[in-house]
Amino acid sequence: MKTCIIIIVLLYTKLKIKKMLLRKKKGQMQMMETIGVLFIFFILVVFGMIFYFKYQQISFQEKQEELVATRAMDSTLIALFLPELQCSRSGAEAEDNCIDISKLEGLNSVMSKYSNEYYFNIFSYSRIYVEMVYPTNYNWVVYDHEKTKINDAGDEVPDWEFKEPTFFVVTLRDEMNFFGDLTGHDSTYGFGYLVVEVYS
Amino acid sequence: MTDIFKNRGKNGQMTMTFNWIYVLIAGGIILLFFVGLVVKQKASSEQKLSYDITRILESIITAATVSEQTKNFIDTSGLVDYTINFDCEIDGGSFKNIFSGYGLDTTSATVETPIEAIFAPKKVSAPEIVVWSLPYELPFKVIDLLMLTSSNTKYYVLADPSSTDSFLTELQNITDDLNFEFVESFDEMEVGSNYHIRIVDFDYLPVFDTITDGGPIPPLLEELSEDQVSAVSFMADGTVNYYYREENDFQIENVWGAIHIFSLDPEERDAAKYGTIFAGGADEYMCNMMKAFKRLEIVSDVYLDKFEQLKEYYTENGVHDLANQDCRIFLEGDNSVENLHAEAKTCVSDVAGYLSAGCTNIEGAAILVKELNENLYNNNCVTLY
Amino acid sequence: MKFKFKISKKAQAEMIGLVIIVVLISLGMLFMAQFAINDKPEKKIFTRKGLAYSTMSSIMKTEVACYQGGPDPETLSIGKELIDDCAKNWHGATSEFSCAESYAAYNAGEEKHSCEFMQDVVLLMLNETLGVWNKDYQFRTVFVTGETGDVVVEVDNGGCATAKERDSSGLFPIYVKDAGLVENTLYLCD
Repeated sequence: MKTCIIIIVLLYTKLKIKKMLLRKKKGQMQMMETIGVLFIFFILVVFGMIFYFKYQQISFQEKQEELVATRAMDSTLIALFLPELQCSRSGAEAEDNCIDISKLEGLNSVMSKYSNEYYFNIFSYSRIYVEMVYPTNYNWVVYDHEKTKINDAGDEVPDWEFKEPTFFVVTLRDEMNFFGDLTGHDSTYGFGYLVVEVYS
Repeated sequence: MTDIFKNRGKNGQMTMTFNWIYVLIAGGIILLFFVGLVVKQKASSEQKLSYDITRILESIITAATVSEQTKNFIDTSGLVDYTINFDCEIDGGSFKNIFSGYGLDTTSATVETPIEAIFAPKKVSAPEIVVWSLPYELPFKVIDLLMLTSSNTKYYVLADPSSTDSFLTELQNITDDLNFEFVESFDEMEVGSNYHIRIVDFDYLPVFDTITDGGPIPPLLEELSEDQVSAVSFMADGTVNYYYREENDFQIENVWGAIHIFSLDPEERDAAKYGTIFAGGADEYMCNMMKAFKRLEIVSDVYLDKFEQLKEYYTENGVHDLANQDCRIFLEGDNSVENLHAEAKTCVSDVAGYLSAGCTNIEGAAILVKELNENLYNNNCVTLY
Repeated sequence: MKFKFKISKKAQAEMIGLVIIVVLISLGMLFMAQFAINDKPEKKIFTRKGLAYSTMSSIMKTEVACYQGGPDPETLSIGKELIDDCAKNWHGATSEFSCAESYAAYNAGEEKHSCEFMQDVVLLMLNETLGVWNKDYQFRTVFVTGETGDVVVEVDNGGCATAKERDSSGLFPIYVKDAGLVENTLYLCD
């Protein structure tokens, strides 16, 4: 009887120990599983963040390009309709797509004079010039305000990443025959184009 | 043995409780985190939207400014919940002290307009905005003045309808597609579904009622708030007065004196005159006109250069002079362009601003330039403008 | 043993599940990324349409030197005298204005029919502008007779005639007295 009881107790104890050990192992396994899940979760979060930041970066760059393009469009529109450039017709409406050469001749100095206090507010960092194609080749720089910075050596260097040029073909009115001697003939209306380059 | 079981039971209960508390706290924190993220993202999106709106508005206004003599009707039904405010102040009189811009109310999205002259109500909140550009000539084209209004800004024109006044007649024709109504008395003025009422009083074409300093506001408009009613009065001498509402009376805004309209031919489609109708108030009108005068200073500088070139073109020994001696005679000794440039320069730099002597003399100087140009034109010379 | 086998399968299944989630999320991210690459054509269209119109308008106003009969050339406007003469005489071998591009060319006997001269001048202008900017174009002057038209002047640098995406300057119609209607169009494509 006593032996039986002892055997039963021993068996029970063995079973209990086995169960305890198993529980311990199970607990460890659960812990490992939880750690594994958390690890994967954080990897996913990291992936998500990398993708998000990359997307934001591309989005930001695109937005910048879009802003530069909008600025280029606006600057071109304004430049084409500047009273300082347009061909006027006394009391009548100004001529479309026409630039008066006699105004062009002195405009660079006027624009430089008022550049900081006035024209920079309109055109910001950009370069506007007019090229004549017919009757002869000639060039006028109307406005030039390049984006620059001072480098470590103290030199002024360009500080722009890209520039967006916009071209518009215009008629060039030459009432005072500036190019008559050069070309050998009087021609009031020449052919050329206006370029507006916007710096980013 | 029973005690062991009892302890294990109690352990289990405590573990369960802690488990749930832990889950609640952790879950709550995670939820708060995501809610915070969403709220921040919403605020950021709204700010981004407001910046996008002002950027688009800027492009629209730029394009509208260059389309002269054309009314552009812009659908802003998506912006009905937003209020766009237009500001122009001179803190000190001269051009350098101009603070001007427009933007969405209660946001930081604003566009500064130190150069563009925009005559608009102080606040606009409407499903449709109308922009109309008119060239300002003094005597050559100086700048395009942009008139801006909305479908829910009502203009009551108080004038004698039988009058043959050319400006009134032109106003009747040209504002056919705008929210204008021509009335003879205050009783005809109603609020309707309008956001702002502007009364345009032709003081020199009197009818039953008129706008006076200290005078009553139309009875049917009493329900509107003070910033929703305003008036402008055209006087016989070519000046204007602006009025704002204070309680139930009109009070004059320009207490320093009537505002002169600088224009060469007030009978024609005059941009400066139309600007008085659409401007938010006296300060806004004068501030925007100062921008026009600044532009005049620069454009006259360009024409000064052209004037010198013309003189050279028609020199005594030049071929061109042989054919047209009168051209040289008109140009020699003429200093009208130089004078105009000098007056414009004085006008924009004087702290007295719009009321300074420089501004007052601009008209006279411009008339002389116009006469020079007419002489050149009539004698088949190359004209100045 | 059976119990242990089940546990190991469960773990593997869970691992596969996690891998699938990672793959799905990656695919989702890639899918979203393609919307970031967005072509904004507004500026392109604005400048192409505006450019076509302004180019055409400028060509029509331009005055060219026509050397015929001496060192002093006649100044002819493309949109007036030159097109006028071309429209009246396009079917003939000669025209009222037989122009050489320079005095030297005139001395060398290189005078051209007004239509041919107009074609050369327009080609020069378009090459120096649109051609330099790598834009394909097609310029046409059509003499309209009833419902049909005869192409009187054509300047084409290839690629624009059959292009799907192209912008037009609009018709620049000119009525030529004693001749008829002449329509001028410039097409522009990238």
